[in-house]
This record gives sequence, C-alpha cells and structure tokens, in this order.
Amino acid sequence: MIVQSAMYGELEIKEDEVVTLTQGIPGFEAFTRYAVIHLDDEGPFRVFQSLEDTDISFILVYPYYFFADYDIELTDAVQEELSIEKPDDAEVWCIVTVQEHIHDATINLMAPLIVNRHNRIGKQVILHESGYSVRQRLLPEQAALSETEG
Amino acid sequence: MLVLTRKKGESIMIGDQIELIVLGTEGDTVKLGIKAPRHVDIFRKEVYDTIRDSNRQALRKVALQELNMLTKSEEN
Repeated sequence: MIVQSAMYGELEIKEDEVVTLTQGIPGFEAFTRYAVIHLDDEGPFRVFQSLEDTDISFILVYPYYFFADYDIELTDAVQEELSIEKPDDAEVWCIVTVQEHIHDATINLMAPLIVNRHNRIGKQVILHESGYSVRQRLLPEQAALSETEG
Repeated sequence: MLVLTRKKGESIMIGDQIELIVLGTEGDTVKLGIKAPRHVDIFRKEVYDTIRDSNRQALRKVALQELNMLTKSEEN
C-alpha cells in the first residue's frame, strides 16, 4: 500500500505497519489512523504518518536505543484499553522533535506511544507522575558540541 | 462557560458517569475529587497542554538521512 506524505513523499507501507489509535494524540485529536513506517531495516527511527491527513507526520524513535533503562508502568486502565496483558504485547515508541539542529533533537519520554503489537491498537499515554521529560535531549550537549565543531 | 456555585461536600455530574466533588478549599486552593469511568483520562490541564505543545512542535519535516547522524554520534 502506498501512502502520501506531504513531508516525505510517497511511502510504501505494509499492512502490519498500520496503527489505529483509541483517541488521537493531544493536539491532533481528530486523527486516529497512522502508519509506523520503517525508514530502513536497522535504525531506531520510524515515520509516523497519518493516513487521514497527508500533512500530519511525526518521527518516532525506539526509546531503548538511546535510553536502555527507560522504565514505564502502564495503569490497569491503559492495559485494558489496549488489551495488553503482558509487557511483550506492547510496542513502545516516542515522538522526536527536531528544532534548528539535528543534534539538539529531543524525545518525549513522558508521553510514549504504546501499541499493542497483535491488534495494532495504540495510544499516546501520558505518564505524568513518571518524572520523565517531554523534551529530553537524545544526545548529551557535550556530544552535540563536539560533533558540531568536528 | 457554565458557572455553578457549590459548597464543600457538594458535587456536579458531567453526563451520567462523571462526578466532580468539592472536597474543600484552603485560600486560593480548591481540592476536587473526581469519580469517572476508568477509560476517561484525567490530567491537570497544564500536563495535557505540555504534551499537546510538544506534539505540535514535533510536526515538522526532518531530513531523514540526518537522523542517522544521531545514531552514529551515539556509537562514537
């Protein structure tokens, strides 16, 4: 299946890359059908493209690639809403924000996107008591600096 | 906006499943209790706004090949 993306052009998606959200993500409440699209086979990043509006797309990252000890707990209500019975049922993605410079990219660890890997139902879960940041740097500032200078 | 006056211990219903109870007040602070079905998400508005603003900021084009620079930096 080919989907159109205003930002990334034509993207080819597989059926199992389609995700249906139980409710849209905050700020984009009206949109519930997305595709989580592989950019390549190896990397931790994905394009999260709305299937309902070509203008809406985000970058997702597999958070454990950068934060191996990222530890989240889903409430019973969320587990029920997504039919998640065990940790292995859940895919965890986080939204990446890139401002001026790629090295200053941040990740939203407070509100991960949780997807049931079996039925592809998902939700942006707000972990407001987790202590995780909405804008956590992906790279430490020092690394960003040296990379820029180099 | 609908404005209602309630005393401590009184409540209002939003629909037939959500109850908002005034538990007490102290100076400028009002303590509220909320009874709602489990599937209803309840947050302080600031929290919701923070996530909404972050999502809106994230909606911009990213040069996909630049993302690989992030993973390369990580490996070094």
